[in-house]
Amino acid sequence: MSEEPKSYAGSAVQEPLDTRALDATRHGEDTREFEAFLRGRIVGQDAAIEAVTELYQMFLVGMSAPDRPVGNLLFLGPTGSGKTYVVEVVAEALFGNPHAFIKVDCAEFQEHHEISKLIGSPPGYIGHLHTPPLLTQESLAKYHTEKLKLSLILFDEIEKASEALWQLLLGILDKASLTLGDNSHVDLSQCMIFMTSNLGATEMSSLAEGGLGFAARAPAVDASLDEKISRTATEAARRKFSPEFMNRLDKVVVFKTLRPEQLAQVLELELAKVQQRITRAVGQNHFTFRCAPEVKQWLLQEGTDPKYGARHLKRVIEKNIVYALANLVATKQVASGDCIEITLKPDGGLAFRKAPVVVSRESAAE
Amino acid sequence: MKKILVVDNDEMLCRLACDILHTEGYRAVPVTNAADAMAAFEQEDFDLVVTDLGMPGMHGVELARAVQQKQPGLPVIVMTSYGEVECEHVKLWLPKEYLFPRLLEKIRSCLAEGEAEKVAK
Repeated sequence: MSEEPKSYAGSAVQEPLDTRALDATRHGEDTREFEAFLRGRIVGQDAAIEAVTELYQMFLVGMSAPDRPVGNLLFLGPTGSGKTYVVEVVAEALFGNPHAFIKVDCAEFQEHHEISKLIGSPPGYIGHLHTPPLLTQESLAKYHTEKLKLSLILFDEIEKASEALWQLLLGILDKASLTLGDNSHVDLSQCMIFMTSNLGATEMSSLAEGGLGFAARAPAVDASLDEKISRTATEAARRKFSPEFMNRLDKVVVFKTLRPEQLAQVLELELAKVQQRITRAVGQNHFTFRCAPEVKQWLLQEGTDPKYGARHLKRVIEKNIVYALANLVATKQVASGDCIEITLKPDGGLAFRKAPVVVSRESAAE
Repeated sequence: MKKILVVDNDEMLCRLACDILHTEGYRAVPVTNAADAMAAFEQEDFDLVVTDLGMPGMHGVELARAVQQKQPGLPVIVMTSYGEVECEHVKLWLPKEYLFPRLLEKIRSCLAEGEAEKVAK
């Protein structure tokens, strides 16, 4: 008769191993907060949110690839779809300041010699040691906090960059290292690098004509069109950019043209921002405003179009709502605690009037 | 970034105007009386002053005179609900009726003139 197997732990019955399935898609608490912040402010660009969130999660747990930037992201898409805005929102989420990133406008670096604006003049050249480089270890650390040592760099419209900037960019994306004009080294391994480009925008617009934008379509068609647009943009990028460059990217995100319901959400966000600005600017003396549905429709008509997306929306709100409210304040037609109702005049302009004060039964009884 | 001092005892307008100027790319400093305006000039120079006319204590024209003694040639725009007064120290009068966007246009042109004068010198 064979003996019962003995447990080395001294127990006859061995506890089963913990073999529960793990959920590798879940994010940590900080990342979930970060993602929620982005989702609350970015409309219709889920792929961009997911790409940035993944990289941020990797950075937080210290699993970003060593000796490389934290992430190299290429944003492609039509103008007014929010490519630069995403970077601003990321900066706001991380540092509380939408301008807390270094922006390199590649259109300003179209000539070979202009690279010295970025890295300083090399020795022997006039201006050496007198041309402060844009990318330095100090400028990268400018927005660092005690808790977060991460820098954001945006190379805007990279298709306009000169060959010299391309060579520089390849080094940065691959080795996270940059040598300045004075031979000092800049470490970019704590940087998230964003690049934007409008490449393929014309082809995307022609694909979208009659489909995306203001025309209503069936969801199934939407999905296939999105796929086509995404492929068109990526192919345009592959045609323009070298394989060395494309291979250094962690993710290529194609921004979608915003649809009418998404533009309406953008409008709501922008109007909420105006109210926040009023509250912040005038403190306790603030007043509120609300727009009638036809006003919102009018603002959307004036501020958005399929070609330029929501690019002009802020400007239209500023000119038609903010300036008008400021004029009302200047002429003392608005006082603290007022609520301004904005409606559309029959001739198309906006009409402003004070909303009637609603007195609750309780306060009336007092 | 151009620096603009905005002086108005109506705090709501003062702050809102600064917020709009900030959105337009200027650094705008709000103060609600002339004494604070003069104190601000002790600390830094400005490229332009936008002031209300009627304020308790020192009014807008007196302020224009005082700041130009400190910084000769500084453009001063006076916002008014009343009317204009002949005064060499005031570059421009702007009625508070329909203040925006005219204020922005005038600020732009005043600053551009100032730049052109600097280049000419």
